[in-house]
Amino acid sequence: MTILKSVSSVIAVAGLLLSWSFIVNILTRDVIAENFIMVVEASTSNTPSTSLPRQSSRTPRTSNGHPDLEGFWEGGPLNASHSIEEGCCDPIHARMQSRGPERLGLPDQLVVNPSSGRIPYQPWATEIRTEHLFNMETPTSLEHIDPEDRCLLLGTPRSNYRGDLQIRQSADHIVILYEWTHAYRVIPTDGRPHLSEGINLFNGDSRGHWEGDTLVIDVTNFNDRPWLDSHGSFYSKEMRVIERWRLLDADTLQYEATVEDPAVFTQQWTMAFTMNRIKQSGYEFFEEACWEGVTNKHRLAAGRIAVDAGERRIHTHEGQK
Amino acid sequence: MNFSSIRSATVITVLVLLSLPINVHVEQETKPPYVPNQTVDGEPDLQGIWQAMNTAAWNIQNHSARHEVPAGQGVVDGNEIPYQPWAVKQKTVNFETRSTADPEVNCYMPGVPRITYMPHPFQILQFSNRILILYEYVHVTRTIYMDGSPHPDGHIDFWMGDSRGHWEGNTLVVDVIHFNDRTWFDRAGNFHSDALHIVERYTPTSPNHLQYEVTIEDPKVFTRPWKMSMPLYRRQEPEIQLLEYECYAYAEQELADGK
Repeated sequence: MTILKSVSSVIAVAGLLLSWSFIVNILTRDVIAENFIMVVEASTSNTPSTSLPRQSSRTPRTSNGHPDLEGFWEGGPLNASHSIEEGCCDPIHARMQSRGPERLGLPDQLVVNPSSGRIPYQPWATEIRTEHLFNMETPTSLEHIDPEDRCLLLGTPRSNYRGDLQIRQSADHIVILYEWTHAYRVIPTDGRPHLSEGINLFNGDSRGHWEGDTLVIDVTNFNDRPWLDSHGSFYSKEMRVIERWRLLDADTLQYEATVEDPAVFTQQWTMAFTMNRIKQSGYEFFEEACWEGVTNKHRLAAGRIAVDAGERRIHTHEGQK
Repeated sequence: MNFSSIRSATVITVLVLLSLPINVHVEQETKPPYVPNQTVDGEPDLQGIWQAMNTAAWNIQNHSARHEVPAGQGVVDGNEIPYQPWAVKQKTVNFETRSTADPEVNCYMPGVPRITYMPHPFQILQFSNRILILYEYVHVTRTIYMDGSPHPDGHIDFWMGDSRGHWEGNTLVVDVIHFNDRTWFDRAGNFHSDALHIVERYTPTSPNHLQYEVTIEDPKVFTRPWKMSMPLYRRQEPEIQLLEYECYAYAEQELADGK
C-alpha cells in the first residue's frame, strides 16, 4: 500500500512537472505540493482543532514516564501551508486537485492569537508581504517563487503543516522526520545550551524539555530564507519559536507555536492545530527527492512573458467561497 | 642437500607450523575484541556523531595529489575495482567530464556508500526496531529497518536505496538495494548501475571508532563483488551537533539554470 501510494504520488508529481497545464496555470503555486498531500490523506479527515485539554489516562508513556509521541502523524490541517491565514484557494484550484468546494479555506482558524487570525506585521513588513503576493503570480526570479516549490528546507514551524511527520524518542533526544524533502530535526532534551550566535539555520536550533506532559521546544538561530506559507509570510533571523506538543489522546497530538520576532511583527503571535495519528500498520516513508526532480524555469519564463505584457497582478482568494 | 639438512628443514617447518596457531591464540588472549555498551533495548550502542577521515570522497582508489585534491591511500581492498570492459571506458569518460557530470556538482543525494565518506558528520540514533542515520550533507536520512521486514518489491529507483539491517554479534549488518543509476562512488567517476546491491558492516572497535566495511555487487558493471573498508571516527567536540549543508540552496540560481 505504502509503495503504491508513493509511486502514484511520484507519478502525479512527474505528470504535473511535464504537463502544459502546470505552465499555464501559474496561478496555482502549490500544485505539486498539494497533490502529494491529496494522495497521502486519501482516506482520512482532519479532526477539528480544540484548545481544550482532553487529557486521557490512556496516554501512552515511555519507560522514563514521559508521554510517548512516537509514530507517524499527519501534518497540520489541509491548505495551511498555502496560507496560515486563509488556507486555499479557489474553485479552479480545487477542481484541479479533484476536491469539492468544501475543501477550500481552512478547517479552523489557525492563528489563534491575535483573534483576527492574521499575522501582526509591522507596516513596512506588510508592504514586503504584499510585494511577495504580486511576485508569486508572475515570478521573474527564483526568490519570487515559494521556497517550498524550490525544495528548500521549510523551516520551523512550517514543516509541521506541510505533509506527514514521524516522531522518534530516546532518553535524551527527540527526532522528527518529515516526509517532504526528507527533512529532519534532532532535538536534544538533555538540557544543553543553544548554539552560539553566528550560526543560522533553515530549520533553526531546537532544544526541548518537558513541562508536565507537554514537550516544549525552544527554537532559535534561524536564517531568513524560508516562508511560513505560500503567501509569502516571512520573518527575520531574529525569530524565536516556542513549540508546545501535547497528546490529547493516544491518536491526537495538539501543536502550538508561539512566534516572536520584534524586527518584523508588532507582537508575539500563536498558531495552533491538531494532528492525527497514521494508524496503517507497517507504514513507511517514501524517499521524497524534491530537488533532484524540480524545475522552475518554465514558471519563470511564463512570469516574464506576463510581466512584459503588463499583466502583473496580486494573488488573491477573491473567488474563494 | 644432504639428509641432515632435509631433516633440519623438516623439523623447523613442523615447529613453525606448530607455533602458528599458538601465536594466534596468544594474540587473541591478549587482545580481546572490544565490547560496546548496550542501548536500553540491549543492542550494541553505536549512537553518536561520526565522520570518516580519509580522501575517499575524492577518489576511493590510490591517487596522487592534484589542485584541490589531497593525495590519498585508497579504501578499496587490493585497490582494484573489477569493472567489465565497457565500464572501464565509461569510468574514463566520467573522470574526464567530472566537473559537470558528477552528481555531487548538482547537489543531488549522493547514494550509499558515498554519503558515508563525504567530508561531513552524520549521526546514528537507535530506536526500537529501527536505526536512523542522519547526514548533515543535504539533510539526507536513512531509516534502517531492524524488524526483520523484507525489502519492498521493486525495482524502486531510490537515491539512497532501501536499507534492512540485523545484528551479527556486535556488528550492524545492513543490506541495501533499490538504487537508481545516477549516483557515483566518488569525485573520480567510479560508478554503478541500478542493479547495485551493497552490504554494509558497522563494527565498534573502541568507544570512539567504528570499522566500516562495505561489499559492492553489481552484475551489470563489475565482474565480481568487491569491498571497501575504513575506520569512522567519533567527533570529540563536547558540543558537536549536526548543522546544515543545504548544498543547492547556496548556488540555487546557477544550478537552476541548468535544469
